[in-house]
Amino acid sequence: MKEDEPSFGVQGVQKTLGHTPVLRQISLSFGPGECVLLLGANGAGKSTLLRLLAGLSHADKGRVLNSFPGRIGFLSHHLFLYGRLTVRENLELFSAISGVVRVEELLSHWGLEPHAHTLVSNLSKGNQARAALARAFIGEPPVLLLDEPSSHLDDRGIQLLVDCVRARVVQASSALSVIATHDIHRLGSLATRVVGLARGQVLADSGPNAPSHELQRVIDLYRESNR
Amino acid sequence: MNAWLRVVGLLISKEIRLEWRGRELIVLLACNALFTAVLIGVGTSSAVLDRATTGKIFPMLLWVAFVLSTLTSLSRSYEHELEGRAFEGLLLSGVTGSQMYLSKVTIGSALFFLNFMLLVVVLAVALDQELFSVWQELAIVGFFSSTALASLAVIIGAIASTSRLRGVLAPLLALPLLFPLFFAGTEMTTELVLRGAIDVKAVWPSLLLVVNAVFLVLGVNLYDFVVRD
Repeated sequence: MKEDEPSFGVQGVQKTLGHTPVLRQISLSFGPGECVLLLGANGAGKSTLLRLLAGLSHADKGRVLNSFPGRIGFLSHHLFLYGRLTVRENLELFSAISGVVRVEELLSHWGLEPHAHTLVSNLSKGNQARAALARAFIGEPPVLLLDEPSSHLDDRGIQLLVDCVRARVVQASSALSVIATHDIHRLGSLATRVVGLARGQVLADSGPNAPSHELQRVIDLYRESNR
Repeated sequence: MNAWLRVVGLLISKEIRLEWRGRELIVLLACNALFTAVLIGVGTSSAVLDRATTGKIFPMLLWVAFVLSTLTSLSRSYEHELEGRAFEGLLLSGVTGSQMYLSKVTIGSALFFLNFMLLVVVLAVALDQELFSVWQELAIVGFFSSTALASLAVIIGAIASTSRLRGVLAPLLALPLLFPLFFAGTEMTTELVLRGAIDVKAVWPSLLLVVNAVFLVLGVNLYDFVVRD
């Protein structure tokens, strides 16, 4: 890889699901230390872009640049957990695979201790979301991809999430977070960059470490496009 | 290599835990085996066929029952992974398709082998056959047949998993590929039952080993491609 190429992003990527083009010639590069808010209406291509970045899906055309295979934390609409294993068993499995042992810490941090011995399939949606977040944060991954992370969380859960992501930005200067969300009100304060997507294309990009008025400009553009 | 095998070990223990918690596959296999054996036992009762005749058709009946009972379970190996798309969590953690494949083949082989031995015992009783003197050789044939069958079942199960008709699609895809295994297994079992030994110079033991190797190599190399979107 050349020095001027991004280590994490997409170049000229196209993706079609069924007969519907979902991403059209998208190019984005993300750098270390960024916390990117990915905005877009339903069907704009946010989830598909995150799956491509995570390496769970292949692009029809273009390149996905990923210098962190196997070291990406990803929260999706799917739990990526075994429903017939308990919360503890799931976290133990994924921690052991990643070579880290901090299950107690994860259970405690995400408020999952009372549910440690409950099967994931028997948890409430909110606690399933917390368990999925705990899995995503295993091993303090250098890249964190969050797809609608606040959709099932209560206020306490969202505060825990915000604190965790903010701590990554502050403490780990090289950590990258990309958050696809509609919840600008509660997650907007985390952003160091805002990217708006519309119909599979980049509507607007504030660029890295953008000043607050530039972040707001992209948010306003996204809101206008949604009217 | 140690780290790679350690992950395979973790995945095998996960497969055992999931199977033990649900006991779906083992119960399905055992019930299929017992039902088939009982039906065959009733249909070939001593009032219709003598002991010598049932001895001649025992290998064929054993293998029909074995293949049929396992075919119905082909699509099951992947169902735990689809629930919550847990397999994608593994891929995100850096687990390769080959590691997932080998762990599933290991547990599948063990279950199919138990199914084979159960069928041998139940059918031997139902058809009044004395197989005690050749049970070790039969176990070896059953072991290698089970590994071949599991090697195929795991990859076919994953390929068929996205189809709503996976219960039908998986056996349909697998059936043509199972013929070499079926013929090799039937011929070797016939030699054991009728002559008490396998002719190691015959083509059938080699065919069984070749089928094992081909399915395993293909599965290890293709599984990652199959499980990624």
